[in-house]
Amino acid sequence: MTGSATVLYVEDEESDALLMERAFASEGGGLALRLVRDGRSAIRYLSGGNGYENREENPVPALVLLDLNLPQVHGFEVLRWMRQQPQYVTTPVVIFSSSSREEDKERALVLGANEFVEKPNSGLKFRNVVAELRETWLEGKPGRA
Amino acid sequence: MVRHMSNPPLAKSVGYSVEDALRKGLWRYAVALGSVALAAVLRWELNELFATGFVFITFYPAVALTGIIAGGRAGLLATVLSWLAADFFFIEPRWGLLSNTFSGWVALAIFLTGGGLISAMAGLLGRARKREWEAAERARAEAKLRLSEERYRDLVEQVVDGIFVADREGRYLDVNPAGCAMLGMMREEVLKSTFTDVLAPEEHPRLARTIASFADGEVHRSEWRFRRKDGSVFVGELAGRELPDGRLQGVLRDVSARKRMEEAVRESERLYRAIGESINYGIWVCDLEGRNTYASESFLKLVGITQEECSEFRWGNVLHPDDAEAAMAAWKQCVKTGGPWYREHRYRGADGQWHPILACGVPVRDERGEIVQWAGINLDISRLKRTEEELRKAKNELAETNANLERLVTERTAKLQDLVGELEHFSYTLTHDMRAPLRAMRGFTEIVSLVCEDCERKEPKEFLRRVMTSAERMDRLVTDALDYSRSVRQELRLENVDTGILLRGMLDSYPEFQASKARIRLEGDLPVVLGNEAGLTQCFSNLLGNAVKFVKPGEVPEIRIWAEMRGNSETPASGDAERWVRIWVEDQGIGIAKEMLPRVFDMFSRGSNSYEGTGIGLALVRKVTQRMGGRVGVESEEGKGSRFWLELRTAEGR
Repeated sequence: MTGSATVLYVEDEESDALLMERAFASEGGGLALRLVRDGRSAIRYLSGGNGYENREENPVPALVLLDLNLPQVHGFEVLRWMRQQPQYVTTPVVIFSSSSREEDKERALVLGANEFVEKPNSGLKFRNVVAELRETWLEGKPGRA
Repeated sequence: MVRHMSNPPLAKSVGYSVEDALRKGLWRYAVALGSVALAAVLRWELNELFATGFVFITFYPAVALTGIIAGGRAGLLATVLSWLAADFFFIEPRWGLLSNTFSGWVALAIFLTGGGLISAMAGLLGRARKREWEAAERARAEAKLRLSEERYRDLVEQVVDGIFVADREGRYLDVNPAGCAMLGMMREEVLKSTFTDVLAPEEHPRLARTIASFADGEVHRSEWRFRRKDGSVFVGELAGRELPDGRLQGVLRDVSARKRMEEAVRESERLYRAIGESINYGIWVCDLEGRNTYASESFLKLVGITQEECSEFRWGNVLHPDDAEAAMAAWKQCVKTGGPWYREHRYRGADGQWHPILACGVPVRDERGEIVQWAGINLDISRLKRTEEELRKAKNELAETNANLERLVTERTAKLQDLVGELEHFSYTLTHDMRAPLRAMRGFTEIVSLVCEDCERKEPKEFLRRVMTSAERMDRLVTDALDYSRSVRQELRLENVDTGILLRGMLDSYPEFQASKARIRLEGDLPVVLGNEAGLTQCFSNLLGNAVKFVKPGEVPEIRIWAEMRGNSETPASGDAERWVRIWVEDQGIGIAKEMLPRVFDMFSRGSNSYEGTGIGLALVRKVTQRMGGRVGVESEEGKGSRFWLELRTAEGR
């Protein structure tokens, strides 16, 4: 596992998570995907808190893929929190949401998201998303060969 | 002359017998007696000087004097008296008559003869002188009379009044030129006429009575209708009386003009009274002291007085105490300057109520421009004031109601906005959340489809395709619904948008608009409009999407886009500075049924079940265009194609 970049995917929707896992499996190029199901868990993971102390198992992510509409703590709160942590000021955050609202997009960018990707309406298109993410944000990052 | 001077006082003091005596000439004998007595006294006093001779010489002057003053008969008496006096007092024998000497007799005879001669001569002389004096006196009187008559004649000729003299039978004896002119006759004609000839027939009955009344010699004034020679009638005022000689004299004045003027004045007064009474304004006329000389019925009724009490009426007494001072001051000012009177104040009416009055008046001036009186109206504006007050109240109530209504509207709008916001949020969340299961359905169906690719049975694959199609349709519906609700809520900032660049960009990037799938031509220059880029993109993508979609199966869509400048007249909100442009999107597709046309922009309105669609697209186009200040429309014929248009304001400064 060491040496391979990790992507943290924050998603409460089981189907989306499954589709994404499949997409990573085929298009991930050795990138590790870690999944958390809500905003609070995301913050816990990122801060190495309760349950996520082991950085071997839960490495600091090279990219955070963040859904917005999350239970407990909203995606925007997670983003805001991240940008307040020196450790995560520069970590790329890609919002992955089904929202097509301009105000959501604007707000995400204002809060420091690097990109806003609308969830595709086709399962197969998740692969394209993963491919584009790699290209844009993780090029040159070591994946599993 | 002497008689005239002394006669009246004597007649009164002494009585008839003395006067009678004098009238009979006894004074002459008194003169004789006096003269002789005077001569006798003188002879007595001068006896020394004359001695005894020449007695009679002393009495000659007395005889002569008497003869001259009192006539010949008195001279003879004086002669006899002188003889007796001389013989008795101065000739020997004294104190007795008749001389005792011859010479004495001679002297006596001479004296008597001389005295008689002197008397006769004096009498003749006196009568001649008297006749002479009387003739002169008569001439003087006649001259005086002539002069007086001439003056009188001049006067009679000059006066404008007609002067007539007639006998008691009514025959005219004299007339002046003015009289002739009045009757339209020559003098000769008048003198041949009688009263009945010149009076109108209806006047004849009272003629005799009037003439009889003249008998008292006083002047009687009366009015008569006269008939001129030409038959016309005039009214004359006659001052007539009977002269001492029994003739009748009349002075006649033609008063027709005066009568006409009086009638005209009365007529005018009747008219202005009629006007005054007929209208509901209190009309008043007052003198310079403010005393009313006339007031119309409605004014009298208002303040509860009669026309007779009008002059006693003091309008200051019915003024409201709060208005009195100012009104009086204003009135004084008006009288001083002669300016118009225009005020509003309150009168206490006969009903005890205060009546608001609008008072207007102007000065009435005579020919010289001097103000002689004031006239005007007092309009009772109670009703007007009441109406005004009611109007004001109604206005206030209305304003209050309006304010309440506005508050209510604001409150309700706010509530409604909250509700709409909640609903919007609800529908957004709903549609948004619906997309996740849809995504799952599609995603996993795709995966299963891949897995089943090698399956031998066709059915499962067909079923999976149907699941996919339904999921896709549902997703489109959800997406469109989301777009619509966003277009309703989202603020559309208007800016200059170049529709040419926008459309070309869309044609390049949208897969379904590519040349391989559709022939889309942009014709001519497309304008820069005032709009919202995202909104316009939505509109065009829907219109073009429809145009591409609604063609007969197998046909390649033919689409033409062009712009047309519009005048102001048909635009929804025309202003001088605004110009409008219509952008047309024309297709050769299946067209729209006539009955469908009016509802084509309505929500969920769909033309055909053979084509995919949610019925939201055109509703979205209309909503977005309206929110950009424009409007939409369509012309279409079923089977031949449709022409949709968007009308928008051209960009500012273009």
